[in-house]
Amino acid sequence: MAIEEIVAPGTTVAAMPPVVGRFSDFVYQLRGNPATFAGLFIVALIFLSALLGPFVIRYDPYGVNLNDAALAPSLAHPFGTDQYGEDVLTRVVVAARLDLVMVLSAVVASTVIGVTIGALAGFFGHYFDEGVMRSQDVLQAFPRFVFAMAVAWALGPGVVTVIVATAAINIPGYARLMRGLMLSVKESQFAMAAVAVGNSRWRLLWRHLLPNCLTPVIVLSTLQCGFTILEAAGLSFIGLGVRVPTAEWGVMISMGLQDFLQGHWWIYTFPGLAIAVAVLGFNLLGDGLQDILDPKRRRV
Amino acid sequence: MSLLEVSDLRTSFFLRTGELRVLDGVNIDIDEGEVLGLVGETGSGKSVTAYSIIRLLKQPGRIVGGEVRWRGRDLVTLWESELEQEIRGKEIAMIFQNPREALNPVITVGRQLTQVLEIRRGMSKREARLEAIKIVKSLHISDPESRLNSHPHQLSGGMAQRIMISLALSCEPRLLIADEPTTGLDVTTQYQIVQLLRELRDRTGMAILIITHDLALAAQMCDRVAVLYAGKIAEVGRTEYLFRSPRHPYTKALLASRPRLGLKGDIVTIPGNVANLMHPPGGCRFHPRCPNALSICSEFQPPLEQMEPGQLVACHNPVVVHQEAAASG
Amino acid sequence: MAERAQAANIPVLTPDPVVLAIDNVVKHYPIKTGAFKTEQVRAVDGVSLEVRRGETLGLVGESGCGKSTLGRVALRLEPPTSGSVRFGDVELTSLSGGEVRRLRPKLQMVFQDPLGSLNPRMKVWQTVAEPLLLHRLAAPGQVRAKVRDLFSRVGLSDELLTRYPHELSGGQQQRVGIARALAPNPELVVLDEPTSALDVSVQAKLINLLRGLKEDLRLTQVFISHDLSVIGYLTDRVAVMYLGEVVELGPTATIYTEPRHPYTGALMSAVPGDDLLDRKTRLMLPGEVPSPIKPPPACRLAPRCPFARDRCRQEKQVLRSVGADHMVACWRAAEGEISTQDFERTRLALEV
Repeated sequence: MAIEEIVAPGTTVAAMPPVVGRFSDFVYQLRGNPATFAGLFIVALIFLSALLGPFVIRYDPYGVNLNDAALAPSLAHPFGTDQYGEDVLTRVVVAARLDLVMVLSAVVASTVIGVTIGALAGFFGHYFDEGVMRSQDVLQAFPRFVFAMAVAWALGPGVVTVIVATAAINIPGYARLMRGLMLSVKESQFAMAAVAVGNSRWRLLWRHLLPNCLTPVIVLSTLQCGFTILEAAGLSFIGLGVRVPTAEWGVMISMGLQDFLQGHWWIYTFPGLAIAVAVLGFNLLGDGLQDILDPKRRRV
Repeated sequence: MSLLEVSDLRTSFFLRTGELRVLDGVNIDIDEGEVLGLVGETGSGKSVTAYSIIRLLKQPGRIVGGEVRWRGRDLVTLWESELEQEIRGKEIAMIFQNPREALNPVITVGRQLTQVLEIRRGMSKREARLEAIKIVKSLHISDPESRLNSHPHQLSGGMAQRIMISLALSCEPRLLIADEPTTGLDVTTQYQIVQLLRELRDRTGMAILIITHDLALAAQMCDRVAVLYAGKIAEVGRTEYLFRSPRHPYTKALLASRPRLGLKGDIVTIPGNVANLMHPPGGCRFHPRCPNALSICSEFQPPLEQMEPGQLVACHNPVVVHQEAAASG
Repeated sequence: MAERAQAANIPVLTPDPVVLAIDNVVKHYPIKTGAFKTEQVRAVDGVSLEVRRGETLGLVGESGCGKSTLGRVALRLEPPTSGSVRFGDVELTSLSGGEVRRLRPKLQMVFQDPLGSLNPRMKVWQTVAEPLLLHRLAAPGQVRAKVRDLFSRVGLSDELLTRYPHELSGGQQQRVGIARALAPNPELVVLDEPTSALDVSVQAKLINLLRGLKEDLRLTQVFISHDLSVIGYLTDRVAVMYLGEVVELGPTATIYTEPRHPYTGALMSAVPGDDLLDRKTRLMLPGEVPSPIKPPPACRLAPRCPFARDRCRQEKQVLRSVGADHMVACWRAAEGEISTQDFERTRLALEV
């Protein structure tokens, strides 16, 4: 951490900071940023649910039991049961796995593809750059959700469809970000130094430029996870994604709303809360990461 | 009473790793119409001194002690609003390094100047425009009308610096603090700015505090020079005495470490590194690098004492100056 | 060395007295000056120079004179708009990308921004090791030892090996840059304002290092700077540049004590002497340096030159000899009409 930025502009202070371990520094940053810590906690919770959920649940998420249908929350069923008698808490926990898998796949796919084309566009420039960016313009011209719906309609409903649709609409964001970063890092002195030392263009791109563009991409990806959960749930909610009776938050909401007039609020409320909490968690974490990773905004 | 009296100013930066004692008791005074140079290297605290005087420090920096008396009033304890309305930009003005970056990039320089005149001196738009042209003309800027209609990035470094000076002068301050005013400018432009500042001082009687690492600039421009090392004044005195017969070993070494044409062999450098402000050396902060160090130097900080009238040195074992040299000055 | 060169596929060069021959190099940059207008910044506008083996050649001039651009073009870090750069008997401008890369070990650069020239995500030992690995100049097991060796040669302690650039001081960062440039055993090193961003005392140490390296390694250096004192101390010969052209070229001692070109005279009058208090009068050139987009025709200094005549505004000036290895691009100087003494006299007249 260079102290220069935090001192009055234009000055430097000659104190070489002691070289601190990365991890202890990370913990220090978290302590100063309770919101980030909360975000990290929530995300960790979701991951845990996804990993361990199916092993710790008491009920069968698909165990139809019409005798226990639509029971209000109680000690036996903290979140109540749905119209088929399935325990809502169990389904919410199990759904975490599916939602997380879909979201992570989509985010990873869009990140990798978007970063690749953005980096290449920024690096090579000229006609290639123009071509790529105009194609991204075309992609972004569609309203996001309409585009996702179109993809889903074309491919038929299902998990893979959700992943493909949500990945596709997010690619242009990464492409633009990466292109901008690449354009600026390309002009840096260490890039020129790397060429002077004998790097080939590809090695320059891979070994020197890309690693220095990653930070904003990581932040964007984290934030994207939250929004993708909403999109995936949304697609499933309208029936273009995962189907009933799969345990997935969006589907559960649509199922629950069928019973809206009967006042069985717990069937749709808890999955909705789960989505809200998940989005909140990823957003907090993403914002926090931005603060931690940007040397100018760090806590000193 | 001096115009500005800084006594025992202490400023620290509170970092996670500890308290960085950037200024550890700085004493400066400036009289009316005087040009004082504050000279030091990176880490000496010279810019922080300037920012502390008019309280422009940002967190995690804070003044932790001392007084800054401006015409008798202590600026450290003034309310922020009083400071803003009465002192900053009015009685004490400041110009910065990198003039093109210190100016607002989206407004024309003319507008920046007239804004200040309208707000601070209550002029009408027309009056302000005329006054702006007058000020700019007095700074030898050719073609003032079209210059005022330019944006900062359209100006050269030297021109932008003159514009910044005109902004600083708009309220007729009694003290101008110039933070590295010529760094980054070409040699010939630097000279022009120096001439300009000198002329301004002669004309308006304004005092100037110049902060710089450039010894040559200080020698050409200043009446008195103060040398800062690791947050403390090492030596202060009239320019001729200080440069011809420096008393503090640091000053002497600094003067000697300039490369010169015709110098044979290596440049004599100061051993070691700049003092660590987090864990400064005990006693005199320069002692680990000092050729004159005695055992007392590692235990007690030397006080700033008067050697000759007007020459103050903080050193237990100052450089011996031959009598004839000192007398002839 | 010949065998190693063969093995690394580097063309073997006979020890030529001239390491680099720059011939009429021109470099223009397009710049948008309006919504639909694009003009050319004439950064370097016809420079011819040679860099001799074992010497330290200085390139001095104010901002906008093109010295940094010339340095980059000379090392083929940027292609010239026209002109030729010959390294030994290899024409750099006609090489393919791969061929240029193979020559890189021989032509190295030290950059201006100590921190900016180092990859922030690489440990400094990796930065210095890279040229060795890229050109297979050391066996994999020996790389670390070689890097240690380089570190000690530039005065860096071993404990700094695993640090990141932002964990070093400015002086240390620049030493890493020098170590990186020395790693592939170059024949020529171009140093682009290597000490401008450093403090006086740190600069002094670095200059001593460069001097030592020059003597120990018989290194050929091109030192680019706007700091006249440093150039005066460190260089053997100096080329003075103004607005993209070389206006005077010759041995440093001669140029500093007996400048012949009015611009050089003005620059030299600004060099602080031994006694900093000597408020000597300076030869002041009125006005400011014109923009490199529309430089004055013929002699570029003419609009500001106190010695200008009509011929100056009409005839393009070229370098002409005025003494032993001393060339000036000014017909009045070349024909003996003006000399150093005239600069002295004019100072007093111009000083306000």
